[in-house]
Amino acid sequence: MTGELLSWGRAHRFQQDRYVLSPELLAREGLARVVDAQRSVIPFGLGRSYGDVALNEGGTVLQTPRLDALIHADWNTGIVRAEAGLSLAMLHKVSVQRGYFVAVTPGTKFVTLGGAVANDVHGKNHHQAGSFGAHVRALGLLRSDGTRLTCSREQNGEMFALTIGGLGLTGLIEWVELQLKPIGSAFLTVENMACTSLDEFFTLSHDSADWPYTVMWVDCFAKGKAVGRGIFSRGRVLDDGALEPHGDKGLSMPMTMPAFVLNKASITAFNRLYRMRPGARFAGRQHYDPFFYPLDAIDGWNKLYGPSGFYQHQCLIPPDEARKGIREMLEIVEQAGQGSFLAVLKVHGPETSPGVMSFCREGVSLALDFANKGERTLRLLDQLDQCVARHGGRIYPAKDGRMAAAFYQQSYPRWRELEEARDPAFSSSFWRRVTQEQGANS
Amino acid sequence: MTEQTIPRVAIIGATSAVAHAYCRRLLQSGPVSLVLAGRDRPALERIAADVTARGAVDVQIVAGEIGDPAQVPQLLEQVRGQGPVSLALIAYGVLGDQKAQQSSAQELVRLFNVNLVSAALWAEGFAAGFEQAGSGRLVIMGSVAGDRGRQSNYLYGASKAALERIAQGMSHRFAGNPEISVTLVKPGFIDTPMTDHIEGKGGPMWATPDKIATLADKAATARRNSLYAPFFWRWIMLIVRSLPVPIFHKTKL
Repeated sequence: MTGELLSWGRAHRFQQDRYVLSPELLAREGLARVVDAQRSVIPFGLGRSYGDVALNEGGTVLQTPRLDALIHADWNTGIVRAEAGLSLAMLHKVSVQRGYFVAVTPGTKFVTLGGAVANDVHGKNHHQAGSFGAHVRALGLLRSDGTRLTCSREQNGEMFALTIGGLGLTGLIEWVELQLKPIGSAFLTVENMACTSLDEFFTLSHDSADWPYTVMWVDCFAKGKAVGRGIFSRGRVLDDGALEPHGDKGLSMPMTMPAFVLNKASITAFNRLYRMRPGARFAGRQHYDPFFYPLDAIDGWNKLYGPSGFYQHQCLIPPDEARKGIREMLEIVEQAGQGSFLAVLKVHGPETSPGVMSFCREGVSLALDFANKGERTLRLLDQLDQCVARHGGRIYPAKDGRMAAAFYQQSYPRWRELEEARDPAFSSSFWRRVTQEQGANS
Repeated sequence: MTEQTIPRVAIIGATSAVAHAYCRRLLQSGPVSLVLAGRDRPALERIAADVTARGAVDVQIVAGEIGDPAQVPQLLEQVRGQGPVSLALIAYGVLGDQKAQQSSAQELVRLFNVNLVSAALWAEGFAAGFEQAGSGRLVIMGSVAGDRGRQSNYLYGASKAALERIAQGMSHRFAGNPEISVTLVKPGFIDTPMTDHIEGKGGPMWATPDKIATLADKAATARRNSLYAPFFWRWIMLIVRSLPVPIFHKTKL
């Protein structure tokens, strides 16, 4: 099948073949039919990575969402094994009423288990729970030569550690076995509070360390002393026994908005309204769906950025450099005037995931997004990368579509181990970009 | 809840995407006991594992040529062997290639055997069981293609049209008994492996298997006799049916 397949940022328009994987085909003949010497393959789940980690220009993408069956579930222990195309949304439809939730969730429930493993995603509880990979017990890998490997900490441990955060390059993740977290409710007690400066953010994060979930939305137009102003939010799962899963209803963004809808004036207005809205001071009981996944309520919100799409930039800066580095980043963004509409700041704890190539480690992460205005935006992003590099940080491949190969190789020094373990038939636009461009042999 | 109160549900063609989604829908409202019938045993085992993890109890697999009229009687015995069925879904069929069906007697006979004759045998078998038990619900997957003969797929359409008459007649037959119902579901385009070869697939006219399964479940619970799924196909097919022949014959539908 052909046809355009976009990642979440919609900024890459690639010619690539699509192949919808079916469980019957995989059981019968593995990957024999989809692998050929001329064209590489990369798995593609629900398309929530922002850049090109799941794209494959000139090659084939293997669409996985039909691999969505549960294989085994023990509802006494919360150990669930499922096919890798299953989404968190579908898993929670089954698990929540039985009192279980994923131990780590990213900001959308429309990610597949395979995608969550391949990008070793993280969430608002990183300071306590680490990344997604920390809760993966085992996974099944199908290699292009037909070999099926069961990987866990004990078995094929090296391949396990390289597949978690391995960007789908070590072979097709067929299934994932997770340890879910018991919950006493589908609701959380939530406190949202105004934060007036970056220093206050660090104080609030420190004082909230015993809250399982913390995050802050930042206003990128704040200047001077107000840099770091935003809404700090923290939450804790309740124990009231109300185990209702999320519903199916939501608004949908029917079309791509014209490019002028998100500009400096509208984002400034939005930011002001967002800070002043009643919810900004909300304290009370909230369902997990709006707490973890506020943007899922608007299906296709990414189309707000117009036909050219947008870029995300998420960096992680080590603890010692975090205050300085984050302030510099925010100042660069404010001066550039290309304001980010969804800027998110979060203190991360020590990483407990075994993933060799995982993005997360201890420090502070800042996620920003920018409408794609061509060269101007790319220059700003390069400037941000330089700032991150100066402070010894790195950026998140799942959100990247443009970082320089040299920066990637410097900030992920173990990348050659992944290249070694990579299935020879698997590759992605991202991987070729960060390993084959200038600096690849430096 | 005791074993007796858990409904026994038979799914004929359980490996189809809509049938699988239908099982998942049912399990969202509580445990059911499932008999999964189909041709491909490994695929049935995959579905069985999935529904078991979702709370289905006493899941039984019946693997065999469900679309072969000669095999249906003994497969029906196996399906009903472990106790009376209170809800049955008949959800299999072949689309095939119209050109091949026009020119090959074997293909044409196979099409009608699978889509019509075997399905009629399953339906009559369940109907007899419901009559004996005094209650039961039957859900049959038809197709909008049965609404008017069109050059591109009239043979498939004819098989689904005849199935619709059977469902319609059965609804009439049980009209006096509120405990027995027959529901014919007529979906339009569904995003399933069966339609992967269609160029330009996707867009608002295409429904997910889960959407069709949800509508089928609601309709069966409400004991409706038939429905278009999603609803807008009712209006589309009204137009397709109402086009005068001279105009219709100028189209390539």
